[in-house]
Amino acid sequence: MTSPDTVASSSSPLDRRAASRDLLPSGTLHMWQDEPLPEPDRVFWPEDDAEVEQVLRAASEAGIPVIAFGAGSGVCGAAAGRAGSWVVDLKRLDRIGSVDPTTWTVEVGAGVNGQVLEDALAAAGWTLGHSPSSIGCSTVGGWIAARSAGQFSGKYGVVEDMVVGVDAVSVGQGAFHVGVAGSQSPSRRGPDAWMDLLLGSEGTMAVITRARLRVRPIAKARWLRGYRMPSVEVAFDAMRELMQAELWPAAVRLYDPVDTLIGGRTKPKADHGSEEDHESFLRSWIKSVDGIDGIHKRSLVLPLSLPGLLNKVANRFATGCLLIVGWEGEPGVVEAASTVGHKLICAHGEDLGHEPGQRWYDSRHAVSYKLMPVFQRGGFADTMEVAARWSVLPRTYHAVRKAVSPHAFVMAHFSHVYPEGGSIYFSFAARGDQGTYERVWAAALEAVLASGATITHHHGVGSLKAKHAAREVGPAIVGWKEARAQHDPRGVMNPGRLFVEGEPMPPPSLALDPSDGLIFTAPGPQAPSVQARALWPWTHLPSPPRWQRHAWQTGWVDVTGQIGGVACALGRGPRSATGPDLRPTLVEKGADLACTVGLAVDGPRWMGEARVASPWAVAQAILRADLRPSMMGVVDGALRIGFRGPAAPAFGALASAVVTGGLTERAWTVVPIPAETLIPCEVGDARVTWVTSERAFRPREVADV
Amino acid sequence: MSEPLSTCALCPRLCRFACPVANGTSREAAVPGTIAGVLLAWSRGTVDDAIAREAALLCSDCGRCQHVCHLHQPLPDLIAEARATLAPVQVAAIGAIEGDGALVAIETDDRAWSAALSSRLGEPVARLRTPDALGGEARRAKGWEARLDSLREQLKGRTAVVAHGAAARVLDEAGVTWRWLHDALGVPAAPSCVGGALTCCGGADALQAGHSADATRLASRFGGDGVLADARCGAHLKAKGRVVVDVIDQLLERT
Ligand SMILES: Cc1cc2nc3c(=O)[nH]c(=O)nc-3n(C[C@H](O)[C@H](O)[C@H](O)COP(=O)(O)OP(=O)(O)OC[C@H]3O[C@@H](n4cnc5c(N)ncnc54)[C@H](O)[C@@H]3O)c2cc1C
Ligand code: SF4
Ligand code: SF4
Repeated sequence: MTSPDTVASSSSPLDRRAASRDLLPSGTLHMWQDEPLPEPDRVFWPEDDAEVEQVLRAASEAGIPVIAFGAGSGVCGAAAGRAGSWVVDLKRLDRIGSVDPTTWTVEVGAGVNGQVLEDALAAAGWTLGHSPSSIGCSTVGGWIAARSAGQFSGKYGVVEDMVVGVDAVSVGQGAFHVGVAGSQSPSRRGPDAWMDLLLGSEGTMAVITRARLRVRPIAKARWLRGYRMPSVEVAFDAMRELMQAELWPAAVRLYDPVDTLIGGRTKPKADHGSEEDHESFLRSWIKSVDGIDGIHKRSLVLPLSLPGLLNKVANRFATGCLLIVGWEGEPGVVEAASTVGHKLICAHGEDLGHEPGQRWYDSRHAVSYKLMPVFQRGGFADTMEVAARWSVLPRTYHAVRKAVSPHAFVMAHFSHVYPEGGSIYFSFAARGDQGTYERVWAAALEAVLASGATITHHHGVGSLKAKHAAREVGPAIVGWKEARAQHDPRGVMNPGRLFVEGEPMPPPSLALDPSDGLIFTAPGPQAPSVQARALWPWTHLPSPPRWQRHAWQTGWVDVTGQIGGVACALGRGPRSATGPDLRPTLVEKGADLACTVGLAVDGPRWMGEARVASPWAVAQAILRADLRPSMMGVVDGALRIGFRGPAAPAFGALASAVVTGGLTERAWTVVPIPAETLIPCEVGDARVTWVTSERAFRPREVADV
Repeated sequence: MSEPLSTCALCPRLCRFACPVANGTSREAAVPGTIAGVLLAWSRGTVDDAIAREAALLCSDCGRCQHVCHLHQPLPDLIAEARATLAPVQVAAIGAIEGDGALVAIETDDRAWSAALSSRLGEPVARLRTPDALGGEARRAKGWEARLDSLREQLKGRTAVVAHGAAARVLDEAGVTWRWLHDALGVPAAPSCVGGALTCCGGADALQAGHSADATRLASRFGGDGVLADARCGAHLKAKGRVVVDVIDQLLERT
């Protein structure tokens, strides 16, 4: 029997209590109402891979459930300790390596706090660019395990775009690395497929111990602006056009009319200001309710007891939506993109100037303080973030509001957009008993699934959505089960979370609308006719591993088919955090397969060519100058760089300025992107066939095997 | 107490990144919002004294949570208040200032450095000996306001010079004029454990509370030269074999 006793641990009542809760609001409600939560038996603080393995093995041998714990900021009940379990707190895996200026990557322990990391990077002139609202209260390992997304996802991508390598430990496989290895990595390399399985695994497979992450120099310029949009639908059109024009704003945030009314007055942090500095509709309303004679402070219960009425009142007062758009990066690129983008949005709405954008930026982390007063006054508040492609998004938005309105006050904002769709972030507030809480969630999740959206864009699944997650992935769950059998043969890793199988649900129809910016194709080699229309002309699908793509390059979006006669549709939008990416499983095991990929919309094109000594080094310099070529490759010894959309000529000029002697404009051609797994090499290597900002790659050769 | 504490108890632990003890020990129990939750439950009678005492003692009273909080919640004060009930400490009455001078050296250990400072600056420096760092450990305990009044009275029209984070915090709270010894000497602020006026990594407290493994771990985070330590963590880091730039030692050696 393996003993964990040499690993730092505690069974003290205080430590067990502290590990009994993550930030699932129903847990907060229990705490607030003095209802005890189930506590784990013991909390461990391993300091290295060997200690992690020791605890996992001991737990597995004894059949004790083991829960990986980052900072417990997850809001879905994925990390809370449970009765009889061991919690493995990973915050002692807190080493931050130095940034490698050659590969633009940094190696970071899984337990490193997000803000601590960002401060350390900033001191050296770098940024990860990952900025979830929870940056100060979450860890790198939690981000990876629960597929986090930050406020600047338009530029830096979501967490899976940032990860080029991960180290992990599992009972079944011991310590291993996937993707690019680092200085601290275990020597054993896991198959590439494990990367997609670890991302979003929520502690059900392995413990992530370290990651290699892409970083970028701190942005030299930032441009932020606000717009008043007449309606959510019109704003959707503006956001879609912006993304499909390949302008790549760092942040796009739309507040629906009620959220605009309630949050629109949120002010930035004043110097040591009081709560009054965060005045909002809700707060001022709460205050006026508190002020009514005879109504006790805790009795916000009164209006929240009538959510239907409250929704009606708020909807009546609410007019217009606030849209915030921002770019950051190299000044020339920011200037070129924002000039075109601003014009494009002004065709749909009214310009409010820079101030609303700056106000949002300054108060972007203050939003997390908003929910406490609701609990303090006897209610509860929660949030749900979902995603869908453009044509489904309005349906999901209206369906959820309709389903939830009888039970809770509801509003929404939209904070992650892609060429193919976006996310909706709903906020609910209601009178706080567990029964209502469960009713709100059941109504909301049913409405999401029925509308054809994914149940989570970035909060993950946990225990809260585990049943609906299993329904969403359908028969593809087999991919997760098989991986789990390999990594966690006795099923001790976070049991009962992520996927809980129940009643199956037929997948939604995938009929495409022209607005979706998607086209159908099939996995396998991609025909030139598809490559000519696709946003990214992959040689075949699936696209290559993440560390070999530009952060913003998407592979397939939806994948549909059937496994064992049971229909399955995965993706349901541009991004889903419903557990690990099981699309490869569907392709491997399924029949009748089809998939969608991004569509390049019609519009201006600009392509330039240069014959230079080291074309791939020049291509990398262009990427490092913050440009995002739509087309990039070396054809007959000449570098070709192409841009699409209304800013294409301006981007072309900026790219040209990076090349000694410039790029010569030429006719547009499709340059397919290699999709086979390549081997990293020096950028000057004559065999290079692809580069990212971080690395150069060449094909595998017999000698490599 | 329970209304303001409840804000922190319900908070998504947003200031945890700034808490030296939470970061240093990795204990969820040491996270500011978690401590608030335990103390709130204790104030409602659903957590017993022993658990609440352990939680309250985890806070090193550095003030950083309040500093980074967008609501500027006075959590350190609330914890200090609870600690005063849960783990009362006896602190000596503030003694009398010895000597004349517009500057008053706040001497918190047996190193007498007022004379050295006086000769370095070329002006008289008085001294106030306070081995318990002005009794900061008893912050918010009964009689605390009277203590602050006596400090204000004694330091009226003078400037305290201090090399100890906890003492500086008391001076701050009293609202008297004070400055760091390293500033007075013109020593550039080398990277310190936690920086600024909030100088505590939590290690000394962890040591005091009997968590010696945590204290070792905290100390190990700040290895090498260039740590400008105040008297409290200087002593702690030295005890752990770390090289520190101790500003008092520097003053005494150089003068
Ligand atoms: C106020 C607030 C705002 C938020 N805003 C955002 C936001 O903007 N964007 C966003 O994406 N999320 C947001 N979240 C959700 C949350 O911060 C993220 O889910 C985050 O990724 C969780 O990180 P954590 O370190 O706290 O993980 P935890 O909550 O501790 O764990 C989350 C899951 O990951 C597993 N896990 C943790 N560490 C590891 C590891 N090293 N190895 C294996 N499994 C592990 C756990 O077992 C659990 O299943 C917010 C949460 C709050 C409270
Ligand atoms: S001090 Fe502020 S950030 Fe910290 S727990 Fe309290 S409310 Fe939250
Ligand atoms: S005062 Fe300092 S040690 Fe105490 S809880 Fe706040 S940040 Fe942590």
